[in-house]
Amino acid sequence: MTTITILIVGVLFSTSVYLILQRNIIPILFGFSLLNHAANIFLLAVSGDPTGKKAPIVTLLGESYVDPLPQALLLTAIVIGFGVTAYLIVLLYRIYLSHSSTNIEDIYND
Amino acid sequence: MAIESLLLIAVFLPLFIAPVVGFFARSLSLNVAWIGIGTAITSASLIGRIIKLTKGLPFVISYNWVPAFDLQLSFLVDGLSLFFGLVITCIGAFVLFYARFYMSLKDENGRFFAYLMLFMFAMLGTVFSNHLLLTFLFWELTGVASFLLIGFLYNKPESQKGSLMALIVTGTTGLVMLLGILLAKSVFGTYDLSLLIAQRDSLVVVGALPTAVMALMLVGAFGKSAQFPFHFWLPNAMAAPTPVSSYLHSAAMVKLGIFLTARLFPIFSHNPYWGDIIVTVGFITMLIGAVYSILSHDLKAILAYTTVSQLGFLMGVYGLGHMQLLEHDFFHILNHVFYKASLFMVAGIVIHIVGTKDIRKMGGLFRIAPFAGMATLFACMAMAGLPGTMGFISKELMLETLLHNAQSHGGIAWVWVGTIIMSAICLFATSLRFFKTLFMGTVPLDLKDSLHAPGLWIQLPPLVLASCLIIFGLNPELLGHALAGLTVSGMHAIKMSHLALWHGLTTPFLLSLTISGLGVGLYTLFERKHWQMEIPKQLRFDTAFNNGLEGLATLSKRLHSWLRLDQSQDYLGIVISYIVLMSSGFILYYLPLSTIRFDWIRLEHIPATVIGFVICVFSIAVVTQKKWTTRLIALSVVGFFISFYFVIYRAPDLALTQMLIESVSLILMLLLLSKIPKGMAIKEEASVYTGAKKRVVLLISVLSGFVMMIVLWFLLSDPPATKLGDYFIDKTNSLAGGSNAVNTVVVDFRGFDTMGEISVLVIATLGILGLLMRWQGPTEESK
Repeated sequence: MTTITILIVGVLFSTSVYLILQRNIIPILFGFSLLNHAANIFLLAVSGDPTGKKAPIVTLLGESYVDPLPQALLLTAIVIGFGVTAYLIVLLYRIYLSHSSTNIEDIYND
Repeated sequence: MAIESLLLIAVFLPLFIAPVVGFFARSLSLNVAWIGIGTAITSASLIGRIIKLTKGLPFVISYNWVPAFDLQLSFLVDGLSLFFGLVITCIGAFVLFYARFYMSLKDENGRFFAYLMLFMFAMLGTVFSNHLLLTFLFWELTGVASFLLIGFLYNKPESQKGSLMALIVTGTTGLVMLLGILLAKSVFGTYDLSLLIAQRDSLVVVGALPTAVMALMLVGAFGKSAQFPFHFWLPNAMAAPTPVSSYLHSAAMVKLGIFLTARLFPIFSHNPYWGDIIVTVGFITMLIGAVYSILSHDLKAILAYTTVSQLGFLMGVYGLGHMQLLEHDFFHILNHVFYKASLFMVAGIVIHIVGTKDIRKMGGLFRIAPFAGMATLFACMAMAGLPGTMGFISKELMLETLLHNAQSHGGIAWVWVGTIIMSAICLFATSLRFFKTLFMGTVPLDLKDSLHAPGLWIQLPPLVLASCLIIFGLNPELLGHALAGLTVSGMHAIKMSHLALWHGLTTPFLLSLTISGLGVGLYTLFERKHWQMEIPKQLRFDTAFNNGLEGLATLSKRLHSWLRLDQSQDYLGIVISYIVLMSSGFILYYLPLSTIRFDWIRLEHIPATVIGFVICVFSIAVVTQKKWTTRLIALSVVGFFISFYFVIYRAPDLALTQMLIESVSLILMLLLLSKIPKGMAIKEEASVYTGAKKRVVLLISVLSGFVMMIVLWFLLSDPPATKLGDYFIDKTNSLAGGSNAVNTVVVDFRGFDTMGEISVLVIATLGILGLLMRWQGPTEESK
């Protein structure tokens, strides 16, 4: 189970870094979104292997539940990540309106 | 009142008045100067009271300031500091009075007078401080205040250049002085000046280290007092308003170097190099200043060079004193303070009347400004050293000392006699020229219409100051008696020779006659050539200095353009690859191989494997697909499948939130992309990397993914024995009254985090609103 998570994290980080290093604002936006996912899964993986454990809805003490703290942190992280992504989308929209280009070189040279 | 409180008030009053002056300038306009004058007079009278109370005996006031640095707020009250304190405050009062009528309503007077008060405070602090580090602090504060004052008219290029030059030269030499101070602490074991002076007989000042201390500190003094080779900053500082020139650059700040030399005299005068260094530097400066003064034609530059010359002379006084103790050094200083301050004030008045600085275009102003003319006559007489003025006595005393030295030592001492005679001839010619060209003869034709008489009040301060030259020149004992109360033991001779107007027909007097004759001759010679000579370009140190500065700027520009990348994306690549390199190095070094565990994929992992496979494939599709729409769909698929993956991790809340947010993000991105026309796709093609650059980017991204995998792998191989999460599972029902531990953590246990999260959302919303609203703004305006 953890092996799969590790692989997903690796692929997500690679693709997001590749996109962020592009010269066009749209791939950069996509890369940013993927980077968000990568970081989220990384954080969640810290709660350990969930195999054979229950969701952290406690009905009976003594049973084996997954760690609730990473999940709680992640809940915050997802929402904040969305806020930042939304801001980025509008920012890029404004940049596009001002420069009528999505190419970073054009935007710089304007 | 006790001496302590008197002194503290005298020193710190200008500091507290500075903001007051700045504040009231709006309502009081130029009259705010009266507050400053009142302050200066108060400080001066307090210092006068201290003189009466201490009767010339040294007195130390000490408070702990930063004990960790061995720094004390320590003040030394003795003849030297009291004398300089009086000069600073009294001349300050005159200058403020002058500035009241000199500045115009258009100037930022609050700023100007506040700077002047700040400067006065820094000066008083420097002369009274007993702790070498404190001296340095105040010393640099005078430099900062002078920078602000020289650059007061900050949009004039010469002000910018001049203030920067003054700051760099005096600041750098000040730092050299700091080196000397720190070395002094390790050599002599104390920063305390009064201790050093008290122990001067047992102190070892001969040898390599003490000589280094002395030389380093003297560099600071030479820089501040514009001694050769630092003399060039002073003429450039003349870009300041004239009251500033009159105060800082003749009476007060440039005297700080002289002050420091005087302060160090009791300590270092036994060092064999003391006299040689100071006399050589001082007399070279004296000659250069005098020669340059006669070659300049800018009114203020002439005065600046005569100041340089006179400062060299004053330095020389302290250098020559090492063979016996000093006599009448204060008399020399006062002579210069009186005549130079008044000449600068006159120069300000004259430049104001005629509207030019070129002395060759002036003349016949006596009728228009008779009092300024009288002041100039007295001051020029003193500068030329004519009998009946303080200048005469000062020059006679110096000649006498020099001749005495030359007769007993011979050799190089005769060179110094020659130097002072040559400088005196040049200064005589300059004085003659200054007075004759400005006030005698006829008014040049092109000026006749534009002249307007200056007010009476503005002519008063120079006249009063210049009259002192005559009063004390005719009755030198008057001043000698007053100054006798300010002697410093170890510095001044216990019994001074009497000052007298007439010494008889002595060699110095005969020399004086010769100097006057030759001075008139030099003046006539230059007059015939119509003053066409200029200071040779090669000998103008300021141009060399400016070229050096520009060279440095060019060098740094070249270095910058060599290192600079044009695009932020390239920086980002460098930063990311740096992180990858650093962390992989770290990982390789600390690789905990023993704890590494590999978790094989088993049968029950099949759902997770399928979901993970989909996530990986579609995230790669986001990279490889050409069309934006396809990419966006792939991205969405990744997002939704991640919410499935959350389900596998037994996180129902996360899965729900992720679904919701993924949908909203998709809508937002669609909105953005729908605005971008299809034709842009062609342009997008141009921004795709090709060739080597593509491979480099690929390598960086694969490596960074790999590093993150390894980090996570180590993290999961060695989980901690107890987790904080167990506590929340335990207490979720009993403490928070909810069975969903994730929810209770979010709202109860870590409620403040959630509050922060909401704030971030609010801020993001406000930012988005701002971005969108600002876009609408300009279009409405343009309607």
